[in-house]
Amino acid sequence: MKNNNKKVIAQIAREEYRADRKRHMILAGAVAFAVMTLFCVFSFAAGKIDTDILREARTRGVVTNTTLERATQEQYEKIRELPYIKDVGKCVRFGSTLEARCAVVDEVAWKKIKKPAFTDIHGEYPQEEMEVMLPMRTLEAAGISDPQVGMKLSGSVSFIDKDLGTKEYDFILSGYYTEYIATLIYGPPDAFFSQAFVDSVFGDKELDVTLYIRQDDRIDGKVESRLYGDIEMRDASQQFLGDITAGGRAIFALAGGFDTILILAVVILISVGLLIYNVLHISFERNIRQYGLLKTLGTTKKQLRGIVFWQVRRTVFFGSLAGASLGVLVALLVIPILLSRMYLYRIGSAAGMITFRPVLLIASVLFGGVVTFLSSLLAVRRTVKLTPIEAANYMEKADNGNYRGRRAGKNGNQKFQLSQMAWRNIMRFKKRFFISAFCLGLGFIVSLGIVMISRGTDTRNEIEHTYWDINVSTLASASDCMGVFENLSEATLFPDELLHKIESLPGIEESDIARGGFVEVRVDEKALDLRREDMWLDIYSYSYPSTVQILSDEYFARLKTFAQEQGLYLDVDAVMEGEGVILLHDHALSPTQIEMSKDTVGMTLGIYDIVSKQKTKDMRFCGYLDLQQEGLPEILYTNKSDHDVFLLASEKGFRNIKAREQNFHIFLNAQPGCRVALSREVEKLVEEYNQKFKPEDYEGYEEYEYWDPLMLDVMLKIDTLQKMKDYIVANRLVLGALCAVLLLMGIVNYMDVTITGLMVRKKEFAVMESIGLTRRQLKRMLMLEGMFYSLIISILTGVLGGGVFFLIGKVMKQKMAYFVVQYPVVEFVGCVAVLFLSCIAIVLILYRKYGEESISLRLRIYAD
Amino acid sequence: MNVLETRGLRKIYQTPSGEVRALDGVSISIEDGAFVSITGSSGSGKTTLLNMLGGLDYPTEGEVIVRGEDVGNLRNDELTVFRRRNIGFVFQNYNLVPVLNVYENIVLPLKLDGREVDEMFLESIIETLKLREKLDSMPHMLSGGQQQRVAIARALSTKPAVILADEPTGNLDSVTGTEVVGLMKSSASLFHQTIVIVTHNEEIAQMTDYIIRIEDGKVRGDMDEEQQ
Amino acid sequence: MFHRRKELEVFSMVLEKLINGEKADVFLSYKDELPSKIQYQLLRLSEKIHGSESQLIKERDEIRELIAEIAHQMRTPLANIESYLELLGAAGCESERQEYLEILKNTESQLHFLTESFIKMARLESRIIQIKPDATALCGTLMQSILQVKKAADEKRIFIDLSVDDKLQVPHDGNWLGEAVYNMLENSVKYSPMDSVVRVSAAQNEMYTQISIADSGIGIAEGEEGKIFQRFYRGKETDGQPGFGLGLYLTREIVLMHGGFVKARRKKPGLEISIFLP
Repeated sequence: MKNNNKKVIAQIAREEYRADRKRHMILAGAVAFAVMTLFCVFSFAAGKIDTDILREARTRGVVTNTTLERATQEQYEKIRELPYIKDVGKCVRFGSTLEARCAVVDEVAWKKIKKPAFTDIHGEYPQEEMEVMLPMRTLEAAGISDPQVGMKLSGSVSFIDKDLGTKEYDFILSGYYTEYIATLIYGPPDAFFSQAFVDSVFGDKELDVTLYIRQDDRIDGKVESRLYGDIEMRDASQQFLGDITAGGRAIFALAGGFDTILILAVVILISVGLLIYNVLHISFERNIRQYGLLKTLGTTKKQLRGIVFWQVRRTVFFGSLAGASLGVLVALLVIPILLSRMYLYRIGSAAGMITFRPVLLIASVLFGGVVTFLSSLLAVRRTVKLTPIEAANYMEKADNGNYRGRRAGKNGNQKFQLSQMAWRNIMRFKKRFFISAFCLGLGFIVSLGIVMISRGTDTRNEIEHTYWDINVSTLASASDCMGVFENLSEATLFPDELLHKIESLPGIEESDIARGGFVEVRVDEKALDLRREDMWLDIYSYSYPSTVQILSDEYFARLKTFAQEQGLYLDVDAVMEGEGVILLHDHALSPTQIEMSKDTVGMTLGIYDIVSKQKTKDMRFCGYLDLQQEGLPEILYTNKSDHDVFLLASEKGFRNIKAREQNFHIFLNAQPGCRVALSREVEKLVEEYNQKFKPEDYEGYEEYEYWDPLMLDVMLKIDTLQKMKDYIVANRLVLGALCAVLLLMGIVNYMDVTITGLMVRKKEFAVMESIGLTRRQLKRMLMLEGMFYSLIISILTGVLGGGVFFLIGKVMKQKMAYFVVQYPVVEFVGCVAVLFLSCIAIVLILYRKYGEESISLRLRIYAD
Repeated sequence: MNVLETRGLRKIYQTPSGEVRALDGVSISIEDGAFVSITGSSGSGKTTLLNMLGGLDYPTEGEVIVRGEDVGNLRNDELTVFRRRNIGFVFQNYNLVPVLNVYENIVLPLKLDGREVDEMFLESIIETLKLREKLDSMPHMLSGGQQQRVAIARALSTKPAVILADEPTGNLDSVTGTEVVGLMKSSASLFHQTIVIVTHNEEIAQMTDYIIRIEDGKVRGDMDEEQQ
Repeated sequence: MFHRRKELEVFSMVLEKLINGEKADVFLSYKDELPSKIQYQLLRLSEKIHGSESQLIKERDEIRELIAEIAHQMRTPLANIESYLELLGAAGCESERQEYLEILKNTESQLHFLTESFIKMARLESRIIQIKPDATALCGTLMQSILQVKKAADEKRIFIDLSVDDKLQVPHDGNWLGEAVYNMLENSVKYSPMDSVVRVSAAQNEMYTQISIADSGIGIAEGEEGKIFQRFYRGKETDGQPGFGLGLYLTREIVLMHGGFVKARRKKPGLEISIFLP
């Protein structure tokens, strides 16, 4: 049963609190700042990641991931249970309608995978048999520009199952949505039907189910290999098609991966925690003597803790409140403004974004509170460990001890002595000094490190690294040679003169030309077994147009080494000798199929002239090469679709094939300073050339440019950069704000420590003044102290930071090829300048306030 | 009845330069109601002895018995509570809790134990120590002598077994110092209180009834005695 | 719950014992808990109730001791009287008889003095005599005491210097304080050499009024500052001078009864004794 002595503890705590309001306000300020910083930083980061995910999703029409076509129920269930898989949705495509594919998706696929990729969704997913949800594009094509939910439409559905043919139905519009242009590349949008409809049409018939598998964002890289390991394929050709999630990509873009982010998050938390601990630690020193006295008078450990906690509770309350309010203000004002700029026209409004996450706010507040309490607990432990006499004498000892000053040897002039004293003052409590300097230095290093990382991962760098400055290419691909464009095979895609014209333009740093030709192969060749699935087969013809691209011998040499290292099933020698070709595909083979490809090496592949249809050569088939093979030396390849048979040959090999040589691409990098001029020149040339093919009266729709396979396409890096400009700028703003906040935290920390330190020493100053130190001298001495302190922190940050930054550069460069290592020198100098300035400013401000009372009064008041 | 007793008390510190015997076998006993001083030169061990008596530090060997209770058996918080109920302290300085006023300082030990204030008793203490006008003042507004008086009042308020004063006149001029000790003496007899002063000032020591001399951690031969 | 009940039962038992006038043994624990505090309070209560007993015993013992000391002190003069009476009876000539009579007279006055002192002490000791702090003007009281000792002072041509503010007020019992001061003056005069000065001063300090009497006599030995106020104590330097060692003792008792205290300070040469009155 506890003793009835609660009131006095609260009384002492309250009086102590009131007497020392200023210090507690500073502590509350530190807590507020910490809460606000944490909340803002993590909100920024989360917001950016979310935004990026959304961008990605809208660009691709779906929120990311791996798909499995023709999945069985068993596979579905197994995949659902996998720990590293977040969501699995089912989708069945059963036909097409106006400008869209008919599909029905299950709830998971709708909510988690499809829906997030759309905005401007009106209405609900179809439930009733005759309900449909249509993309705006379909509605517009049907002549409905102002759709209403619930309106009646009639439309036709052309079923994939030929038996069902095309049927007319009367539908009710349960909803509609806008999809984005970029989906043109990825295929037509979906018109969604209800499960009831599908059931009524197909009954029990088994339909091809495609699974949309979304992995946990934290998984680095692709999960296919894991999936293959865990799930059995139903046949040799079933495979997972996938990519890292948009989330994963966004995280990667932010900092090179989830692990980096985790480390950064931990480091930030530590910095913030240290900030609070520092301030508390220093301000608590003062009280040790008083607590020692209290202990002597009979205050138990518990009671002492009670006193401390009472005060901490109040401080944390006010600090958290202030910090949370400020943080929310920033989150609701600043973040949306910043992030919405990351959206380009065409990708949609920022309405779909979540900016305020209560979870983060609560977490930040909790963190601030917990750290403060823990720090105070530590501080109290220190006191209660001392015997009361030690505690009561504490401050006195520290004031005199540890002083190994130099005897006043030289009689230097006044200034010299002052700086000596300033130095000694700082060095007085060596341990405490170094700890706090270290903490501050760490804070700065963290902030600067993040500056460095964000600079390096800048999207601009990605673009610069990945793309050539200028890329002129033919629009034609082998499959274009079938059907409508049969004359293509005889045409010249990219005339030599134009090529030379371009090549001879001034300001070119380097260039590369991709050449090759179109040929035909026989569909029934055994070597093509594994590819056949993706080919557009026509029952009327065995011939299939194919592209052959020439690669340099030097490249094949590298490929040979690579293939040997990786154990790929390729016969590069035959290619180099001109006897063989390699089939290039874009990650189209399942692991089983890759194994099977081993047997294809050595088979014969007949090459036929695309015009005469005569066989020109039997080439040796040298294997399947995956374009997405990890670590594959870069191939500058030409247009390629999933349906192509794309072959690689050497110079020798191509001559043996005797196909008509075409220029496919030219890639150019400009000399420094010439990029814009060169780009525009090339663009002009190509535009001129393209004019030949456009009909006279053509007025192009912006979105549907006139297209002719004989035209040339020009891709300019400057245009890409321009397109991304808004995003890049917004990105920089966001990350810049984040870094600024962190830097600010470091500086606030510094100021806090300094101010508290000065406040604690008021009596000391009064004493010194009483023995003859003038106010000016005191001021100067304090400024010197501040400058020494700043100097040491700067040096520490510079040296340690230098090492850290170097490491960061190395690690990030490994993770991201396009990471640009740029040391944050400017910011560092800025920090140092601010440090020095603030130490002067603080001294001046504080000093003006506290110098007013008479010395004797001060000696008494601060007698503590 | 001996209110305070030590038997074979030893306090030994280990320092880099060897063993230091702050107290080397001290056995004393103090009677109820006595006004005693412990003197010795600086470093003689008198402050250490005071710390032992007050349960502020632990002996290496030996026993300290206060009101019949062996203090050595108590640990930490028990010791704190014991102190609260049985021992009053007056120090050389930093006696008062700076954030509380004089009245609050005086009743602090009582409040810590959740006990009621004996108003009449408190009145008489305040009268004797002439603190009536200062009850609302904050410690920093008082002179050294006044602060000591408050400390004495506080020590008396719980009617402890013994009041221990460590160099109570150390920071005071000789007139004020004399007065403070004189006050302690009056209080001792008036309130029937046992008071032990540690001092190096011979004059002050002579004002007490009974002097215990310590040198090099041991009690010196002749004990000057007188019954009150 | 159960535990608490047991504790309460124990407390009840203890209280019952106290009510019945018995002494109670309480087990003490030092926890910051309510039961522990109650244990402590019960113990204090018990002490208080039975405290007066020991107080009475103490006082009784003190009185016994006093009586013993008195008897002891009186023995010597009584023995003297006996011897000299005998001698007187056996005396031959008139001069012898005169001599013996003289000695007898002296001894008688000694005894007289002793007896008077004993009566005073006894009365003080048993608190029969009340100190009535009616007078306030200190100056007058001091002057009176000085007058009383003037005769003895003049014999040794000792000048008594008085410096006191005649407006100085302090509540005191004029007679008793006068006697206390007189005793001090008597000592100073007794132990001072010829043609010296005895300074009497009084001043108001923050807490007390200090009355100091300083002489330049033989003074006292180191460490005697406290002892000289003890009953029957005679300083080491006093050999040769008559006295019983009671004067300062009485002074101290009187001052204590005023709620003040006394203090001695060695000077070179001489001695300063101060009275502090609240």
